[in-house]
Amino acid sequence: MFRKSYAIIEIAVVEGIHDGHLTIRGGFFALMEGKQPMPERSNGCSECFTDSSMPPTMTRGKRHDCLFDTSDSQSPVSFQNHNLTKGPYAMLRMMTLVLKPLTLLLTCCIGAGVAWSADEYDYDLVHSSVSFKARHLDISWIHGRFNDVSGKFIIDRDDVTKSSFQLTIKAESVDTANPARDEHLRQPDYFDTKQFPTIEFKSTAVKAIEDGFEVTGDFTMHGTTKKIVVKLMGGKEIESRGVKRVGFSTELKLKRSDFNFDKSGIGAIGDEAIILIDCEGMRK
Amino acid sequence: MPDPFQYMIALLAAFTASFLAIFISQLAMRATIPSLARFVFMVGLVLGLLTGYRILGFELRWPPVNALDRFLMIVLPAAMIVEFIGVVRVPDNQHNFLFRFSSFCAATVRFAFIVSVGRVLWHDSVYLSSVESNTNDWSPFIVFGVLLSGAALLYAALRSSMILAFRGVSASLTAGLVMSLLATGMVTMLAGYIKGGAAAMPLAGGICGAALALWMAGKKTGPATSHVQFLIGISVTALFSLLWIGRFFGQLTTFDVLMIFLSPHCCWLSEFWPFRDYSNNYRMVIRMAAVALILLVVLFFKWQQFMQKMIPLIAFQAE
Repeated sequence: MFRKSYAIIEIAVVEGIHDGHLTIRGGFFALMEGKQPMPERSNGCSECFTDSSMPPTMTRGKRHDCLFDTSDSQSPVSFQNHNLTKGPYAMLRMMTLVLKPLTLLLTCCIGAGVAWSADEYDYDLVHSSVSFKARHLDISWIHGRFNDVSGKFIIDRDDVTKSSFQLTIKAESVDTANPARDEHLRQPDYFDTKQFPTIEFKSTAVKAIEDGFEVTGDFTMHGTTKKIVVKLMGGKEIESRGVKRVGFSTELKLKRSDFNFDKSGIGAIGDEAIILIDCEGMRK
Repeated sequence: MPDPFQYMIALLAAFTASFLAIFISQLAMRATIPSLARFVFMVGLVLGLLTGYRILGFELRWPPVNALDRFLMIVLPAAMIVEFIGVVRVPDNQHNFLFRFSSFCAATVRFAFIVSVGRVLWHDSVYLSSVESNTNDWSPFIVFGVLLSGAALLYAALRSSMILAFRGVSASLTAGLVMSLLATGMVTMLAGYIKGGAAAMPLAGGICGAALALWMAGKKTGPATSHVQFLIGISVTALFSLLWIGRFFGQLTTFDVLMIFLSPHCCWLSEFWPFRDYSNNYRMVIRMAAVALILLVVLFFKWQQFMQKMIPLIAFQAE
């Protein structure tokens, strides 16, 4: 014969293992329900249970009058005439019903949390820059930058292939130190910022190389997506004032004509543009 | 860099192609089925436009990715179909059920088209995507209001143009629309959107060529009303679309857009006192002068802005 048993357990959410130390992000309490062999009755009632070490048997809200004598001083707990539809037992039952699916869900999360040892960094706009330069009349370079950039890097030191890099540039934030030219660049002949408000990069594969990572990903600009490979140099992590930082640098060459920029806009300004990315990621 | 010589060639090529195609077809098909004649007229105009855009080097890709592509590949062909349906009537008296039904269908299609022009041109742009993601300074109420205002403006302009055409002002109105299209092209280019401005040139040339062919072919009997109606409908829709693109994707101001869009309706001037009592030729001069004056004022102010803002960039490039 079995009976249901309840236990409140504390579960710690493991964030990852760093330098041999277990990092715990937080914890929670969960109410677990299980079945245990029914111990022998001490008062002879099949529905009552007076073992002091265990909670009482639940009888699905059934009220019963115990025929056995439970007023024995030897019995530490008496359950004579207990109503299982009210009071703490009903509350416990209710909590079980509510918490059962939640517990299952959280258990899955814990599993995922333990298995995931990657570090997630947010793009640090203050200490990063995405700039570009393009040839002017094929004799010099015009420089510009994008002021509004966001991104996220997930770096898995144990398994680099699980790392990912994502960068979103607001095309409207183009800045070439000349407001009239910036307005011109926002127009449909160039970036067409009302139609294509963002320039995005999303990695699809990452592999480790000497002094960095080789990242393959989808680069979307001007409504056209191309697969590109960038070499992210750096990746060293340091901790400064309680904030962990990682830095990368890369340079990529793109042809504007590959991204459907209007040919009439490719004249004095060269087709090829060089994008320079120096970024820092940070996490607490 | 903009090449005025190339724009002129494109304009003249569109003019010549549509003029020749329509003039010859109108002479040859005068006695045939009216619907077929209208279809050939439409094909003649398309031929002129294609010639002009070919010279400008416009590459049309499907699916269209920007507003100008959507205008050339969806809005303009749809406008032609709507106007074609609009002029096709079951040849019977007005009390016939089929006639009334075909009129109702044509009006419904036209209404649906007018309402959807702005939305189609805005497709996938920040104006709509931000409403979906709730991350915009434009609330759904403003977006809806702007789209509705645009549709109302287009409907009013079409109605006004059709009434003017039936009052015998169609030649002046068509000339005014061609002038407005040319001004739209120049103003859009001066505001910095070169391709958007260039797109107006073949349209102006093609519509001008078609109109001239229409009036020359129907010199004795006058041009077919349905053809004129078709041409004016296309012109007004094209003007509206190019200005909408210039306003929301380029740097045209609302003032520029409204002045240019409403300028052809200055043709109403000759319909009121004291001008309505003047001779026809005099009235035509008044109409053209009124339209030209408004367009010149807009062009002048835009040129001033261009000299202030853009010339330093171009002068720098010239060095």
